[in-house]
Amino acid sequence: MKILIIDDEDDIRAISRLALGRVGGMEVVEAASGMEGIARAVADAPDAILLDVMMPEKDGPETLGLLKADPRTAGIPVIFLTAKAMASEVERLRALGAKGVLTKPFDPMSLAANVRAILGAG
Amino acid sequence: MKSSRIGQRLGIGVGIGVVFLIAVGWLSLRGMAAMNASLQRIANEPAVVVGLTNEVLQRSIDNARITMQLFVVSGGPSEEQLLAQNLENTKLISAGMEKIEELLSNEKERALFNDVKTLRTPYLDSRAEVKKILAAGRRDAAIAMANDDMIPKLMVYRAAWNRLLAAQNDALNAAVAEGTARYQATRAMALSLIVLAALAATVIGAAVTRRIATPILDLTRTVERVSRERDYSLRAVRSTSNELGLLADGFNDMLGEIQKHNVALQEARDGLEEKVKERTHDLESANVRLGATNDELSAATARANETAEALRASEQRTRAILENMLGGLIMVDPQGLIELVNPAAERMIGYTSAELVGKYMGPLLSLPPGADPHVFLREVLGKSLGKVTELEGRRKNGEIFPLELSLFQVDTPEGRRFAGSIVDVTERRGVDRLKREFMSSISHELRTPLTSIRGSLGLLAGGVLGPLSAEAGEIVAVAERNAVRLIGLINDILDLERLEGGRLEMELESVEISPIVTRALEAVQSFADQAGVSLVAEPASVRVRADADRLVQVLVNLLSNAVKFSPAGSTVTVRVVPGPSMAEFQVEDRGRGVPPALREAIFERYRQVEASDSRRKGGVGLGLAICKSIVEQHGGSIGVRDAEGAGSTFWFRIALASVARSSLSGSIKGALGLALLVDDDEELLSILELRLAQDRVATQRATTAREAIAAAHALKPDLLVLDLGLPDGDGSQVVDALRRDKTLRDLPLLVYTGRDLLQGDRERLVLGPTRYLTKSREAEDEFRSVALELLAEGARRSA
Repeated sequence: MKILIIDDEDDIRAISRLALGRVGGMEVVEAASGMEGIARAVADAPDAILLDVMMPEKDGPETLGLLKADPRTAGIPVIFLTAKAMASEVERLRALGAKGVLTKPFDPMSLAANVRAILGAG
Repeated sequence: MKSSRIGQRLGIGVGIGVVFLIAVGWLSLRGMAAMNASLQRIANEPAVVVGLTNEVLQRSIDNARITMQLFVVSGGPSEEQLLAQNLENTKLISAGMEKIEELLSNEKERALFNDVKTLRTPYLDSRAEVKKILAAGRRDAAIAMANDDMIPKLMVYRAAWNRLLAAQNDALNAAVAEGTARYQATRAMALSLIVLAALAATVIGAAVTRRIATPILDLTRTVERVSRERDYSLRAVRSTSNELGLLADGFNDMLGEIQKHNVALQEARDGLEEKVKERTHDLESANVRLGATNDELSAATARANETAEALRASEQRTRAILENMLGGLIMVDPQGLIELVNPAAERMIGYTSAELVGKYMGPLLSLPPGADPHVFLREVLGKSLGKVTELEGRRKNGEIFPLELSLFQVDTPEGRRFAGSIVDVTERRGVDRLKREFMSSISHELRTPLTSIRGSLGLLAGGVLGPLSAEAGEIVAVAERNAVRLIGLINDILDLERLEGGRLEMELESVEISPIVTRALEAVQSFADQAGVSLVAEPASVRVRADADRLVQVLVNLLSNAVKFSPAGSTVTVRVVPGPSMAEFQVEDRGRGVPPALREAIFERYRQVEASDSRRKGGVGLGLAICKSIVEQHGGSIGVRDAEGAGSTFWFRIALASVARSSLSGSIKGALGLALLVDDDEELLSILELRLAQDRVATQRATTAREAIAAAHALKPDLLVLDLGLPDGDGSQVVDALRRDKTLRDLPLLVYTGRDLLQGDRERLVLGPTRYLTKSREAEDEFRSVALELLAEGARRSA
């Protein structure tokens, strides 16, 4: 399973890479901004995208909009990763078309399992 | 009355006069009539004689004519007729003459009559001779005899008659003359009599006048004088003994009475003067005494003035405080009418004191949309008393501003008042907003590095990056555990901020509880494992109205608390006990329990049973406050009680999602309906339940307004029995909340309260068919019958 991580925080990308790749056994592709993430999504055609919400320039929701607008990437399931754990925020993000929402800080040992659970849930 | 009697009597007097006049006139006429009769008598006597004489003469002349005819007629029936006539005449003449002789009274006529008698005989003899000669048939001799002898004798005889007739005529004339004279004399007398009568009437009239008019005039004059001079000793002259006299007597009696009263009055006046003198004297002596105590009084006054001065000073001080204090102060009466507004409050709300005093305070508050100002105000008064609450105020310019109200009760001589210290917290709200923004951003800023730390530590501890030495593993575990705690702390603070700012949205929906319990147990499992505490769930399949994530949060909080305070090797049990309207979640531990005094306090922020707990057990004591906040936003309640055996049971109740009614009223077969009984008096609830059970009415109870609202939504009962004084508010809140739900606004309502309801209350407390009963004042079994009526009415309407 190939997964694309889009996050502006290098540390978070590093931990996510380890949590998904080393712990979850997934193939991880990284992008440090929304625009880069869109390009990677087109180029690498991942099975899922883990998208940070708070980013400079194109933030998570904007990036999601662009991904959904592009037919090449519209079908890729997107999971948001957010530091805002409020229920309304989660609802808002789901309503934008995300497949699921995971909150920060996350347990790196169970991140991959949570991602699989969201994707597996249909 | 008296005047009419006088009139009557005057009439009688006049009547008497008239009768007298008539009598006099009648007497005069009687006199004249009598005189006339006597005159007639005088004239009649000679007239009879004259009449007789005339008749005799006529017969006599007739005989003379017969004699002449006898000369002409000879033999035959006519001669006989003439002779019979002659004889008849002669008889009548003789009878007449006898009568005349009787009637004649005076000598001269008698003498003349005797002449007639004397001279008649030669004539009759001569006439008999003539007849004899004629009968002998010697007519010529007879005629000669008649001419020569009989006619001269007849002439003499007739002359005697004429003399008598003349005499009689003279007598008649004399009588007439005498009668005329007598008539005239009588008439003169009658006239005199009339004059006399008139005179007499005048005299009588005068007398009458004197007897009637004079006393009246006298009376009038006396009355006038009495009224003019006020001399009640005057008396009307009592001149007569008749009714007028009585009138005068009456008047005099009256005057006597008046005089008596006058005298009494005079005496009273004199007495009064006497009394005034006495009183004056008393007063004078009192004055003296007063003078004596005056010094005392002025001393007292001085003291009073001092006190008043002190009071004034105190009042000035109070006023100065009120007027200069920076906090606003408003005092209202129990009806919400403003009595006092200090300058700070004036500045705050933009009205002057004069514009507000006596007005209803409702417009100063910004109401939630659709709220009734009276109900809202009563809620505010009930809720805020003795506390600090935040409200939305409304300034004169319409601006809405946040307002902090500290409400307290003051008992004044005029009655109970509510005084509110009000603070415009716009600035504070601004600061709060900044704080929240800061917290939000800082938490985000904290989360990002924490995510890295936690993630790194987690990967290390998980051996992802290669095996660690035992010591290294232990240290990494410590770091990871504390990172997790720090994250939990930040989350708690953020949650609480959001909950108390009302910004933590809840999505209440029907959720099945078993997955929720499972999620909560999973979350706490590793923590429990570490503590050596086993977790046991007694599952139940129930659906509740809740935000699933928040419900998990509450359960996790309670479970981790329970684990934290449980001795190793003990068991923490979580169970859900479905009630008729609410589900009760219980988390039971075998810890040391919570002292009763702290059972409410531990749900406040930053409170733990022991101060040392926070160090020993971790956490800052926000967990229960968050739980309480979340449960209350679910319309539920939370608490702690001793568990059976040892330890505590933390419980919370939230409303069941709408459930099939049949399962609820199952306890009563063929129940008439379901009554939701809302009262904080559990004993009374039991009594009401029993009473309604008699009528096969199923019941459910709620002891708070929140529970009542949740239960009504969940159960859709057929009848709401509502007490007004509830621990968390007023029954009218329940009514307002239910009215907003169109499935509940026609619910039959029985307001059953110990309060006396005002008309305004009754108008507000209405759902469907609504009745009001006052507790302990209703008649025997009135509660049951009214409840049944309402159930029936509700059934009729929904049918």
